[in-house]
Amino acid sequence: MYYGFRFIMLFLLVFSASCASTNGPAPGDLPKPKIALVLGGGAARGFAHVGVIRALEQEKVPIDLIVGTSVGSLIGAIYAHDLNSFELEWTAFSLEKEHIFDFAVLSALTGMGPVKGDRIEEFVRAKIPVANIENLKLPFAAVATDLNRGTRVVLDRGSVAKAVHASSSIPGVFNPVEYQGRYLVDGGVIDNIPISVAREKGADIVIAVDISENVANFNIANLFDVMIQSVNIMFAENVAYKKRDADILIAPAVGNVAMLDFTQKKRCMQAGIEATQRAMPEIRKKIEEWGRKIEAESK
Amino acid sequence: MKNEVINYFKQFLTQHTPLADSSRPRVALALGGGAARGFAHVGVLRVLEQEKIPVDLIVGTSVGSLIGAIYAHHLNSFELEWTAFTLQKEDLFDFGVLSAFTGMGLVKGDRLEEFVRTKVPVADIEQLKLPFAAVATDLNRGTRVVLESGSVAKAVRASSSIPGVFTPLDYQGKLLVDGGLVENIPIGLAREKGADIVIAVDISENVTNFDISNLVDVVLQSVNIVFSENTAYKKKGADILLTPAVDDFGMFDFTRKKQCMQAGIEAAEKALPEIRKAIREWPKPVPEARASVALQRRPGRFKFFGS
Repeated sequence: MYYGFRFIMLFLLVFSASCASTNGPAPGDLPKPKIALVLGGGAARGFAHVGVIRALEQEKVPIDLIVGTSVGSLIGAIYAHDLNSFELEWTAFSLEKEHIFDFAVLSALTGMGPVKGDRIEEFVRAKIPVANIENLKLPFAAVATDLNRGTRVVLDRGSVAKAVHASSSIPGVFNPVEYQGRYLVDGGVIDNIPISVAREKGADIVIAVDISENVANFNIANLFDVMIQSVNIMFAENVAYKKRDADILIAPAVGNVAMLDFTQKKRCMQAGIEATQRAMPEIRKKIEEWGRKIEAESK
Repeated sequence: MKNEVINYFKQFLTQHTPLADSSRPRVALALGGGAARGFAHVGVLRVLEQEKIPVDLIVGTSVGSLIGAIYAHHLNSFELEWTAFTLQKEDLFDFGVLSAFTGMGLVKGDRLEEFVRTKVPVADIEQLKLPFAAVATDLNRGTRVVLESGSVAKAVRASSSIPGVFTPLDYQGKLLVDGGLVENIPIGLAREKGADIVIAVDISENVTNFDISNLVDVVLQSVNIVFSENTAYKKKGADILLTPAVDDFGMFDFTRKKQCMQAGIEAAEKALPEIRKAIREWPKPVPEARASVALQRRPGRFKFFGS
């Protein structure tokens, strides 16, 4: 009888334990983490970000914050405005190199870079009708570099167009942007995959997209090529360290797309979609784990 | 207990007998990039020589490769200092306005190569008195290139070819630029070459510069920022890290040579006790074998109701 009682108690214990691990609150009822999407720099490879956003939207992964560097800030800002991956896709489809780069030979001699950058601002204004970052539907921040001080500048208020322009101003190619009393250049100089900004902004889970891997380029003929390629190498090296801090790292297979090749858009987007789909089990797992941890702590 | 005795004996020996080659660690000096601030490296070498700190290998990036190569040839810090005193910006930079339009950089780099040839009369790295390696970057592949044999002048030139300023160097079938793009303080390389103790000199801290007015300034400043950021990670791997107080000096200010050297001297002097300790205590005492920890662990005890 005594042994029987012990057996029943043990059985109940084991049974209730197994219930807790399988039939506890459904993942949908768990507390929700604050999820940040961090979009890295990589010029024309940035079309991969469009594919990532599309897949995340389709899989209903809630995004609470977008932080971007360089092309990541461009794609991120457009999405943060209308939260519509189809619009974003259409914009990407119709985007040409000339919408972004306004090469001026004269500016190379007299100014601080061959590309003035007015055109990228015009492009952003055309695509994002609201003026300020505060008016975007999703919290958003772009990362730029203070050229004089060598420090990171987080643009999370004020003009969307200026923020994207500054964040994307590859040094030696674009003129630095004079803004808020500072000279700003591409955020990739200091942080090409701004996971740290997402953390500082209180993100519980950071999904980061790296498009900087493999910078091989055998087509270097002039000063402009030298600059772009050097910048690419440095940015990739920067990412190699910083990407370790992500909870989920998505690395679309864009390694063989040249940084300024606008003809490979579709392939880049496809790579973004595929990489995100591969990461989905991990994303769901991390979200659920976070929820269970918080719930356990609150008890 | 046995280990303690052996360690004590080892320490006694290293402290009281001249260092025989087998009894002391292989010490590498890793000299980082930072353009004109590199004069600080000269001060560091002066102190290490004076204090008879053995250096078995020098690896350098950019200006670190220039200073390192000159020292690796002469093993004479006075020669090096004298060279530094007389060095002018024009000895290294051959600005060609035309080259900015037709070429891949503003500075050709021939002059830097010539300068190395006059200061280091031997042709090849193999002939230097001390093992030496310079770090460059393969511009096409974005990978690190270690130059440890062949032309000294070419190696230094490649390692120092700041992109956008110097024309990339076409060498050994590769297009090479400044090693700082991938490894601005080559501690990793020193380890790969078998160094037991790495003394690294970082001159990349603080890149503040409010004097930016043209394309070259923009590019240089951006490169400085990236190099400094790169160093911030890599310097963690050093056994002893020297950071001469050169952060107030502009990367291209050749007028602050003396202060830079002085800063190098002070930083090295300050680090001497630590350097001596690292050499004396090498090899680091092995922590008590981890296996014994596992053995000591008590078996888990499970309690059931009433038992």
